Amino acid sequence: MLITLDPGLGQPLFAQIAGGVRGAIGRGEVGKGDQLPPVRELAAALGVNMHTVRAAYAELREEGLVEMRRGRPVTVIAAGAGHAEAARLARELVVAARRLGMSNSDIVRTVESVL
Amino acid sequence: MEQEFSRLRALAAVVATLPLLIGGGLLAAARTRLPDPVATHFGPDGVADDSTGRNLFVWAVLNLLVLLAVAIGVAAWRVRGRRLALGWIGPLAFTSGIFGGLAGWTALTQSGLASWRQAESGWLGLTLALVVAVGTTLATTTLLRRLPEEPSKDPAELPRLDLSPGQRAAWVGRSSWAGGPWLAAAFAVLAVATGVLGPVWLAFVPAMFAVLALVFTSLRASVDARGLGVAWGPWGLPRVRIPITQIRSASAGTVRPGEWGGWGYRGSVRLLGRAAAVVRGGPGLVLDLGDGRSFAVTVDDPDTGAALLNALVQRDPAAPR
Repeated sequence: MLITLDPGLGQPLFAQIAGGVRGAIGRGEVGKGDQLPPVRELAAALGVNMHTVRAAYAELREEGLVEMRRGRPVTVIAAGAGHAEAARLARELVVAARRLGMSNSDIVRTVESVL
Repeated sequence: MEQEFSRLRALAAVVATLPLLIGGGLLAAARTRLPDPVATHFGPDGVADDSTGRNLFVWAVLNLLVLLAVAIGVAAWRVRGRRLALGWIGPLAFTSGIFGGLAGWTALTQSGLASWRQAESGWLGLTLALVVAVGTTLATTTLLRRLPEEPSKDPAELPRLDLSPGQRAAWVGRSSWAGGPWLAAAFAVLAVATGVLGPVWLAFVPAMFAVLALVFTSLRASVDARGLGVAWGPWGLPRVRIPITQIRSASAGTVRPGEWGGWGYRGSVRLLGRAAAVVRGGPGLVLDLGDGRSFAVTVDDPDTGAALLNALVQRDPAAPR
């Protein structure tokens, strides 16, 4: 699981950390039942305050992605549904687009137009 | 170039074994003229105060000299890197000087004596052995110092994450062996059975193995600006840290337990130049620590971790180039 922080981004650090973990879960790098690094360790690794990491983990708990129990490590409770769902929709898009006779670059252009 | 360094090693090995050859040769040649028993210990006044049977003495000493010679030969042949060569062959050369010197001195001074009690000048023997040892070590290390440091893989050619100047990053990976908790449970059952059926204190042994089975069958590896960290088991203890300043480069590779000495924490960077944290054979991070030394840790999906580590090494001003 890779977490990157960009102080220049304007996004609060805790949100960037939460986003990093969310992305890792979505990509399947961290799976259901896996443990996230302890607050203290991740804080030391990224050079941030422990409160920042706790806030990030708290946000993930609010979303139901992880569970935090006293004395136990933070555990992921949701599978990487996000990206899988998007991939499924993308496949449907490609099937429909082919039926319309669209080329690959046409499909890409269409997707980019709505980004 | 490669050949020149092999020759340098061979020459260093010969120099280091010279005292063994000369001392052993003298002892072997003089063995029938030595008193039986031979004087083997000397008092503070330098006069002999203890002895050993001649045949046993000669046989034991010659075996020891041969063993030392073999050790020197193996070290010169196998040990890679200047620092390690000096670290292993240096002390071996010193030991060779001591024992070879003492063997030779015993042969020269006790040859022709009627009884071991006539042996004296113990201090001369010790001094001589020390002089030979120091001389041999100096000669050997002078030769070995001319070996180059082992070339490192050029970090510039390895995959590296693209980090912008202010960006901070950390990577966490893990590896585990699914059988770990089962093995621990088996030991726990054994511990309980032992405690119930036998002396309670004996249950301590399988209980300890249960803990070890839990600790050394999973690990978490982390890469950040400080370097590489490895935390064992469910409680993150024990820990190993390799500071970024000691890392030249990192690559993703396959860690085969056989190449690293088995499972668990193996080896020693300082003594052997190689160490690894191995939980299972398979993908892992392999670190180049310079001068032919390396460290490996088994982790799932090591590519990102290696790329990040290379980027962080590149960025750290104190890292070796």
